[in-house]
Amino acid sequence: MSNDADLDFIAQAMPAFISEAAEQIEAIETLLLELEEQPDNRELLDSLFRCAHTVKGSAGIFGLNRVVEFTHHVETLLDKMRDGDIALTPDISTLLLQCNDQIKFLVDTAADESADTAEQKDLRADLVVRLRALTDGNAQPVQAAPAAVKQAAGGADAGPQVWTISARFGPETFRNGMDPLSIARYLGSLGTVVRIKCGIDTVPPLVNLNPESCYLSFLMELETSSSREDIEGAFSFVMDDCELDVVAPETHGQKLVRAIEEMPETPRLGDMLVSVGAVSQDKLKEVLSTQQQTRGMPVVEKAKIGDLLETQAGVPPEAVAAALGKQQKLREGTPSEERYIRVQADRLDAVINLLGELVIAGAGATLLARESHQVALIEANLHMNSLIEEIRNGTLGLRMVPVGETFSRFRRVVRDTASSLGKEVNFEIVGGDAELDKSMVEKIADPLMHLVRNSLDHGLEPPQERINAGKPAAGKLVLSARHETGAILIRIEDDGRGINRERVLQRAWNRGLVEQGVVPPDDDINMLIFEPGFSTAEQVTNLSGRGVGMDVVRRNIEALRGTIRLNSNPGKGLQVDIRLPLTLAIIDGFLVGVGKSKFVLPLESVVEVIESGGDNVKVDSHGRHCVELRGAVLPVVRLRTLYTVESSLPDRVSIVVVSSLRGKFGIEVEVLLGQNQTVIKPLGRLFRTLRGISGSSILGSGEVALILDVTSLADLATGALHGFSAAQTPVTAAVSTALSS
Amino acid sequence: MNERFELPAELNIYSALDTRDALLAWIAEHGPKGHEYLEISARDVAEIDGAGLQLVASLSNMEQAWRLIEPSDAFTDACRTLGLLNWIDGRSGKAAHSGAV
Amino acid sequence: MQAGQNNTGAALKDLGPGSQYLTYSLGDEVFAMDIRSVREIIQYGAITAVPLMPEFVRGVINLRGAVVPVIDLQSRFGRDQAKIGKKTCVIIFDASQGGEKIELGLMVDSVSEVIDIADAHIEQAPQFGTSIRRDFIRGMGKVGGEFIVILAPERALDVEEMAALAERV
Repeated sequence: MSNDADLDFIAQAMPAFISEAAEQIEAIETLLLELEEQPDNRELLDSLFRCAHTVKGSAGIFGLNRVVEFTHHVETLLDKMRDGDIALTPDISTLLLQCNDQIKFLVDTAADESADTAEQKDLRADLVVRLRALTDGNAQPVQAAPAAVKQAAGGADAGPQVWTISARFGPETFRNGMDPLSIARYLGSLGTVVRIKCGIDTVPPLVNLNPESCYLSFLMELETSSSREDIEGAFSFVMDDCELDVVAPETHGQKLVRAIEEMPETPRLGDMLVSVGAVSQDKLKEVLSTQQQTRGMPVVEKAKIGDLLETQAGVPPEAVAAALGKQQKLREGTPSEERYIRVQADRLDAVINLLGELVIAGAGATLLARESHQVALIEANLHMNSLIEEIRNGTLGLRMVPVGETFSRFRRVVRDTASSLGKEVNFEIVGGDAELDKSMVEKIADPLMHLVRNSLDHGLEPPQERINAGKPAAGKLVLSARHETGAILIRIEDDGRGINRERVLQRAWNRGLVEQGVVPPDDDINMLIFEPGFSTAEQVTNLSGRGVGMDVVRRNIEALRGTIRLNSNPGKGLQVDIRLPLTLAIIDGFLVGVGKSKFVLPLESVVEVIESGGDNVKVDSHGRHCVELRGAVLPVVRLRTLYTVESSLPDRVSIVVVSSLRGKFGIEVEVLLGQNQTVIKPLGRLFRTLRGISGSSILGSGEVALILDVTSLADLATGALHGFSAAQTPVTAAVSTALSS
Repeated sequence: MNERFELPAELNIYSALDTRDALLAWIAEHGPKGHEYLEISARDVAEIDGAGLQLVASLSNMEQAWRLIEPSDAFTDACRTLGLLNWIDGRSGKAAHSGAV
Repeated sequence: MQAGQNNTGAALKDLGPGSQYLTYSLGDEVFAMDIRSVREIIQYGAITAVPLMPEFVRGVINLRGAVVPVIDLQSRFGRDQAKIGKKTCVIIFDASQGGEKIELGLMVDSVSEVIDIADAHIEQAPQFGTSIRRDFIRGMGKVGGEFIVILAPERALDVEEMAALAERV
């Protein structure tokens, strides 16, 4: 073959192979990590074997000998493991992970032999030696011929069966770089071809023939123990263009099972079986009357009838199982298949943006409707707005993905990191099916990783130290996710040393983050680790960051409008709580006005509203504004003062009581404008240091309103008020002083 | 003595177009001479793929009778894999089926 | 090839490469900005003040659903805040940096015409004589009998620098 033609062929079909193989390789890694938790799980072992087998098979079709040869050794080991001849040990697990990395390397460089360095070759050879040592030299010799590799008969339970495979190849087959001949050859390597016939009647006479189009088809009977997937796998690259029919000869029981699965819902077990012909109506009557006699006994009716059908009526057990399963599904009301559609992320984003516009437009229309005072119009508008809200909720939900997917990625890192630190760790993921907006999930991954590594690096102690402290040698690290109203709580919890309060305080004093000698409350001390300038070069180890400190972690989380809190129990452990709003796009807000400006408060933080005259707001001995609320003193923030909003002093003010992480406080405003849904428009980088404001929003009237961030508003207010003694808010005051110098 | 067409050493997708043209030309030249069957030789075939086999299959659907002779090992192996052994047995095209000797 | 043409745009072809510039005024001075980054020009209208920002950030406006910050150029140059006049406009331009798309609004006293200035007619900013920071100026354009200050928006309106200034407020 000419080299150019070779390269053309490979260039065309290679991406498909690489992408398919990449999926298998990823699956292998996930399975291996799961296998470590459940070393005896037969299903996992089977799946592992199949993945490796698929990669080898596809590589074979492409004639990629290096991939085939290496993967073959891995497959041999996996085969022995699933047969129970070899049990998983941590060493074997590590070996397999390394082998998987090598397979990935081989696949990635499949098209380019020159990328295979001497270093890689040595590594590979070493891996093969270790693999073969385990399989005791029982490894099957591999023929490095293109396409055909002899398989050991797989451990499929059913034994060899004769499958009927009929394939009609589409006209583009040759142009796509595929060849029916090599597919037939590959199938032959899976077992024994009982007979094969090539359909050539559809091939036009020479004069009409387009030699580069494919008109071939074949009909084959193949005796093999391979699974349907393996057989269909041979066609995976021509699937789009080929009509394929793979038929297994069915046992009687299997035929019944298929019929049961395909039938429309029928609730009663007996009726189901009768209608598929598993049992006759008379036999069923017999069985039912037998059952009737045992009615008085306290046993589960379902199982009983099933047993009777098997023993008395001779219904094949698999048919009974299928029927019971179908009944169960009907009871649970679950669909028998979950169906997914792949959607391009951009398109979804475009729809969500339009939806945001729709929300704003709806608000505008509502305003106009109200002004018109036409009842019918106002009602129609209400109806429309409620529909918009439903669509909004549904659409935002489309972007939600389970956090578990991201969490799972950490397993490998935790494993490798713990091992390289000489620490033992039990890593647990809880609540992985909690969902979060896709873009947030991606942005939260790095900060989480940093925190996890921090636990591993600084929090959890080495085994001996733990034992000395009366703890189990293996540390516990739990990554969990849980929904709260409107937010998601992600928690990283370890049972390590916790935060060393004294050391943190000392460092804070040394770095001028806190006035020498001032001892802030414990919670504030813990939060000091997030201050920029806290970490030193020694702190930033290879593992914990590339010069990335905890301050960046906090910033990233705050950029997502989230909060991070620490709960440290010295000697016992540390709990890091990250709260994130469920979505970035739209929030329910409470609109208020001060002077000519309008502000939006997140509805979830609004507790109540006090309509009071300005007289009720008093100034206390510290110079703080406050108001009395049911016997308690509530600090009050005057937006007008804080933000130096220009306006004439109003006669009446209202106080919106909000709850924040700093506690409850009141915000004095001039006009209450009611609830509204707002689309959050980020203010942009220019405003990145702005405190107290988390974004902007366009109102129905076209005005821009600023969205208030209650927690940082509280901070801002406390820091901005004069006459506050250091003893009251040492950290906030000291920190802001230090930072602004 | 019949003239024979030697199928090329490379009988695959890359040579399919040229081979088809050569075959057509050859058949056009030798067909009308009234031979019983045309002889197509696969003696030289060393590399073959589905497209190549398809070319030869296309011959089965023409009026002119033909016979495959001296199949190389590579050719035989390919035919066996794809289920086209009846050619190897020496059966010819349509005209032969229809009873002509 | 320098015949005695007047140095208006009509002579551009003879003088080699050049670009088109939008001219505008701040007080008595005329400035120019490369037209390629200008997206549109709108009248000064309802603006939402954003508190705790430096004086040169007048606030934000709603531009067809997008929230765009408006910078007072006079103030950015260190002078007093601009007074709003009848001809006050906002030039919306593309201030994208580092792959991130950013739009900014520039508040100016009035906007004049678009002219051609040949590269050959642009001189380096002088060492002294301007009240504006030298690195804000891309060059001095010679147009008619006057000099026009050609702004370097990527420096004068560098988002990072402006954000940093906001921190200190």
